Amino acid sequence: MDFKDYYKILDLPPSATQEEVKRTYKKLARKYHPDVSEEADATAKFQAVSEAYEVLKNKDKRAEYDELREYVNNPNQFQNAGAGHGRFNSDASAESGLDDLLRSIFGDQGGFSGGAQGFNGQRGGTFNVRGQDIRYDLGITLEEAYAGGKRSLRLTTPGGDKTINVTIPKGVTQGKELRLKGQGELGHGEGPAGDIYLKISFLKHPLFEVDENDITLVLPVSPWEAALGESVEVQTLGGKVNLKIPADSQNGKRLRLKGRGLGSGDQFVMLKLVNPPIETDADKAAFEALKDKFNFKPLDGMARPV
Amino acid sequence: MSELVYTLIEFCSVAKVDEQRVTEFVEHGILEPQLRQDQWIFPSEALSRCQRAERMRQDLQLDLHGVALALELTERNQKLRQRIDYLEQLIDRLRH
Repeated sequence: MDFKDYYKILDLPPSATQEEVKRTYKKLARKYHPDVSEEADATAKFQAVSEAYEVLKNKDKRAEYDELREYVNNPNQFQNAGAGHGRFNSDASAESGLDDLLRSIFGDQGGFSGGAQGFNGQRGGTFNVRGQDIRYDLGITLEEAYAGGKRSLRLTTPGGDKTINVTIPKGVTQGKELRLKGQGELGHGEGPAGDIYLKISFLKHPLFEVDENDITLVLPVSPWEAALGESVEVQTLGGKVNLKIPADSQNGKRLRLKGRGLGSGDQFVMLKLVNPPIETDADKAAFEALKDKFNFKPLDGMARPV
Repeated sequence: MSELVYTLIEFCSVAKVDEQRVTEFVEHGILEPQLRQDQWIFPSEALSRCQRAERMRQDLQLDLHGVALALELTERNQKLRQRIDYLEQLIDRLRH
């Protein structure tokens, strides 16, 4: 653990008042709270901010931290550093990041260890504490979400790597959490193990877009398929099905394949009219014939400002 | 999908939130259990909502009206974000 500049983390000058520390913490806590924030790394940032506040909000801890910070920034001012750390020995350092911070700088010796032992003593044997829950994001394909199924995952947990088997429920949607009971960190004493939570997210699919439990396929069609109608084979999450494009269809038309989405959702097929490339004079002539035949000016139908 | 539900006591033990707090969450509409034989039962989805509510209450020092509002807004926000993602991807596919 490196020395952490708590003032830098809160973006405050060391001269900030207790009131300013509190105000800034509240602002940053709202900004980085993992349940609220959309920032990347929100969890790590929230933890850093909380740790900083935990120390700076308390006048005694803050005074101790300020001395420590002074020492780290100007080690030469402190003659005989070995004796120097004797001063960092109050109980204020226990139960906070400060304790780890002191340990990281002076090693696990003398001075502050009284506080640390007191803390460890409390934790030992006599208390039964449930293990921590662990959270992961689990990216799955749309096919897996559609069909459900079992999957074996290799997870790196604080207690080492482990392999777990997960059942992905059929029709699961984005953001759902799967709970694996008792697979989290081991408890202390006789406390039960925590749980693992897997938050489902979808990997990008080459064909489909997802809107809650509906999926959409954009289907390129030629002008004559749209105009004359056509029966085509389209991909669904459950394999290929036949779809009838009705005659006189326009670009953007949405057709529904009921029950072909996730769970009770549907699949929509959105038509995208694509012109053939015009490469030869004959190609050009074909479209000119269309032009003469229809005398069609869609722009005329568009509303214009008066 | 089999529906996993909890009684109040089970729910509190799994969520690690005490009964009084869960009762307050229900009173504020943060959790909406169903009644079965005069007993509350909670769907498993309520677990993470309850834990989120409790974290917000503690970490952001919100009262329960604030928690309820923050939860609702963040959930709405998340839905909107997903919808925007969907629409953007769709436009992209229609263009290329």
